[in-house]
Parts: sequence; structure tokens; C-alpha cells
Amino acid sequence: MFERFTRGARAAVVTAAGQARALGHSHVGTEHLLLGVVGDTGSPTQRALGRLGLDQPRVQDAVRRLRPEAGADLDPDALRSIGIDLSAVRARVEETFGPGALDRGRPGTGHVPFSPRSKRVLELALREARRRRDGSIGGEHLVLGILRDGGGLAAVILAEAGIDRAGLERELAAPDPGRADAG
Amino acid sequence: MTDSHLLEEAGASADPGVGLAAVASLRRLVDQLEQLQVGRARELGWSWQQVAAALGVSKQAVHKKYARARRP
Repeated sequence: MFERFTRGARAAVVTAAGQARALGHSHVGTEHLLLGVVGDTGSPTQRALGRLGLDQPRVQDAVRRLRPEAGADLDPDALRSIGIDLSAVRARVEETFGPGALDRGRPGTGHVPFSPRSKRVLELALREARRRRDGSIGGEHLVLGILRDGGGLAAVILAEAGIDRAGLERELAAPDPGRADAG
Repeated sequence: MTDSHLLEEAGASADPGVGLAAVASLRRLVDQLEQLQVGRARELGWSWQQVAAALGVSKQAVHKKYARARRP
């Protein structure tokens, strides 16, 4: 199926897996797919979502807020409240283990599997591409797949932003003011 | 740091939400430090027995947690 993905959609899926790993989440959920799409800077879908008020920082905030495991992340403010200066810890650890040592995932657990719902969203993206008679699967199909499925955190995040399928399709079809300089 | 900033922090730490977030972050920090240090000790030739003793846990526990990742 991935051979039919556009370069951008492929990047979004790779980014999704990377985000899940970086956040210490056990599965690649729909919210990570959405993070991948809004992280594909300059793509028509990223811009359409941006015009509808959903950008990367907003999705990141929502994921942190909605994912139960989000508390497992290193929170500098929380650590400071008990007298631990994370930047100082980080500096010392990096002296020995190199830059980014504290942010690296656990060795041997690099592979983060897709959740069943994420897999279904990928299938729905394929179906959306067929329905719209598009030759390849792009970020817009991923988001339409998320909306079609209607469950999972990404659907919650889109609903909170007031984005539904009709609104997104309208925005995707609308003239894009930032399109001129894009490839 | 201003006085009002300090007061704000003191107030925040009484909030269970912040306290629990601190515990979660601390646990994560410990996990990451343990993993880095165990990996380094092994690379420097420490035995599982030595690593376990230094961590104050059983050899089985530390082996089970890290052996697979370290030595494929």
C-alpha cells in the first residue's frame, strides 16, 4: 500500500512513528499520524489545516493533554517544583553520553507498532483516495481517513478544532494563497 | 528570579497535579539514566552481577530488563 503514498504522506507516516517513539508512547496512534501531517510543512493539507486553525504546536499541546502516557515525558516545570534542574541534569548526562542522550529511546525497543485504529485509518486513506479518484495517497487522505473513522485521539483533536469532513474538503478545494512558491 | 516568581513556584508545588507530574517525570528520568548507565557499564566490561549489585537489584532482574537490548 505504501508505494501509492505521496512523498509527503510517506514522510508523515515516518514522522508519526518517530513522534510516538520520542514521546515514549507504546503505539503509533491516529494522533501521531495527525502530528505527521501537520509536520509536513508547506504541504497543501498542512496549510489547509493551518487556515482552519490547527497547526503543529496546537496538535502537540493536544496530544500532551489527551494522552495518558504524556505524564511519562520529562517535564522541566514539574521537575523544577521538586528542586531538580532538568537542564543541569541534561548538561551533565550529555558530558558523558553525548548530545540528546536523555531523549533517546530505549535501545532495542526502537520499533513502535501501529495501533489497530491507525492501521484502519491508513486503509481508509486508501479508500478516500479511490473515492476522490486521486492517483496517490496524500496527507489529505490521511486526515479524511481519520475523520471517516471518527474514533481515536486525532478525531477528538480535529473535533475540538471544529474541523469536519465538509469543512476540510472545502478548504482543500479553495484557492491556496501560499501555493505559488511551492513545488 | 523575582520574588513573585518564587512564590508562584512554591504555590504550584502544593498542587497534586504538579507533584504527580514531577513524580512521573522523575521516574522517567531515572529509567533513562539507568538505561544509559547500564549500557555504559556493560560496554566497559562490567558483569551483570556487578551491575545488579551497584543498582541494588537481583542479577536476574537487571539481566531480564537489559540483556536482550544490549547483546543481540
